[in-house]
Amino acid sequence: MAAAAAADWTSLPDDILFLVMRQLGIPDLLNAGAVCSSWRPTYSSLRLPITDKSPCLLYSCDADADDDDVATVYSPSSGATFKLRLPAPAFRRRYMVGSDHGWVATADELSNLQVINPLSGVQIDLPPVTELYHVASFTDDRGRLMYSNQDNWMRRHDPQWLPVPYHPQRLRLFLYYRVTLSCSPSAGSECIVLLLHRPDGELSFARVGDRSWTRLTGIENLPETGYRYAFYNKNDRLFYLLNCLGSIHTLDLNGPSSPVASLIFKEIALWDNPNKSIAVTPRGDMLQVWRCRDPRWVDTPVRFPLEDCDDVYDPCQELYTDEILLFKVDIDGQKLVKMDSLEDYVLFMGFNSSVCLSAKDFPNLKAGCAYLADDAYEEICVNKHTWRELGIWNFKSETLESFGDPPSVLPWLNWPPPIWITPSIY
Amino acid sequence: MAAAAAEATIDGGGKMIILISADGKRFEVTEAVASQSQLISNMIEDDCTENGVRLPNVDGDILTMVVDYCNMHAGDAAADGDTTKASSTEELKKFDAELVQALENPVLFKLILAANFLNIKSLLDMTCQRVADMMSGKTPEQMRETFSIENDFTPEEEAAIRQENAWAFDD
Repeated sequence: MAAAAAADWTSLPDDILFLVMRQLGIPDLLNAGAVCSSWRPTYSSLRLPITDKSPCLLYSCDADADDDDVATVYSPSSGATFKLRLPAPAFRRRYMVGSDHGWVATADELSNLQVINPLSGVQIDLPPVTELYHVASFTDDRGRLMYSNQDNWMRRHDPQWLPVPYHPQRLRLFLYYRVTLSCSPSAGSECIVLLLHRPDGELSFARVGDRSWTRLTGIENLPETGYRYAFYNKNDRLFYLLNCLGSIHTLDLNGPSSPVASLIFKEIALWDNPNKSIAVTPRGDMLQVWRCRDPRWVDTPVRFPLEDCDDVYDPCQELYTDEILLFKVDIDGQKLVKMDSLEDYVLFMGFNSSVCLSAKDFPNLKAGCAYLADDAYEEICVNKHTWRELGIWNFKSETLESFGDPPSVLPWLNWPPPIWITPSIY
Repeated sequence: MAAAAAEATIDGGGKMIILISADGKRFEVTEAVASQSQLISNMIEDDCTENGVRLPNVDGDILTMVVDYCNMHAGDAAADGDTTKASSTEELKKFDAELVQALENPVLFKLILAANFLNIKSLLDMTCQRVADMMSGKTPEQMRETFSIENDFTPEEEAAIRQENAWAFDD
């Protein structure tokens, strides 16, 4: 062997160090950039253009149509766009059903759920769909895997109805409302995954690593149906469940014994329309956000793959937001107090758990505006490839503005639905 | 090895050339083997390998490894119609895996520099990947230990880096 003088790795030429760092995943890259000053410039040429914790949009860009694994990320705060290559199953073939703590909950073409952190590339499978109380699989007469949904609206009213059969890639469109996570799934079984699903906003949950879903049924003070939105409050370690008529329940899933629930806010609306969600401001106020949508028809039908022709009912239809109502939730007074504006907050909403930030902490975000992604699951299940709404909702003009001028979001595909993620590597 | 060997040929009809390491060790290889190095391939094209190729910044032990590697991989560049290749692909993978696994400081460091100087892309990629693997899953402090690097950041610089990375590490 040559003289065993220790190698001086700080003298590695920058172009070679570049080849090394290019192979690293994002968490390792961040750490490599913090090793020594001579490695820092190479790191800086490779690092992600993320500068803060505000949400980024994860979407599929039209220009990458021939690469199923590539996702595009846009950070409104830094104005930067970059691409990520995600592990299988292909990003293009997933359905987005939730986003929390930097992780996205997706449903694959077998309608099974998994959570993935797009920045670290770590992915964890959740229990299979057939572990839900009402889903079974069978093989049809052509030998194909099929699912049957044993609990549907018609069967509830008339037990003579047969279970509805679904192709594996279709069930997800008709099954999932949204997924909420109590913390990062990298915490293992500490992380509780709460699933809101059909037929009518039932609740099932699992801890990361569980083999099956547990249905929340027969729990005191907790109606079994009607939930459309949920979030987890890490301060009191409770899930908050919003019913389609505006009622709010808290749910404690921490204890070893059975779950504990209580009603903290009574039903207030007559109809399940508009879609309702909750946002919590940095000052701790709870807001109900009612998003009103209307259909409109365009001249040019949307293009979509032939194999999905059963999933597009009307290729000329678009569902757009025409009003967003804001209310402060007054728990003591059991009433909603209408707000004239979003004040100095910035809201991010869609399939993600809503994020409400203070505009003064994020000078590049538009104060008093809502950054919207589309979460119209009732539209998506019948019009999988029609226009997915994206933009900045201006509460003053009540219009949807594009991100930047010229628009900083590249032409996006409607499938998978674009979704907000809060950047994190854990 | 005699200098005359530079003019010798082997069965395949390829010309032989001589590589000379920094410490004067001589290696006789076919043109097909040597031209996996883009540097030497260019020299062959320019006809300047007659008197052997001096490699003043590659030690003999490192050049031994490079030549072994190139001998093993000479088949890669050969005609695709070669039916014996299928079985050798597995062998190659095994050879590469064993070579790269055995690499430690400071040999790895020198091999990377040699692969870079000789411009052998596959060897450079493989050795860089090895370094990346050695970094994987480590904290900055653990990386410093692995590569014997001093932390030369000032406390202010460290604070700035923490601030810049806060989005990633804070929950």
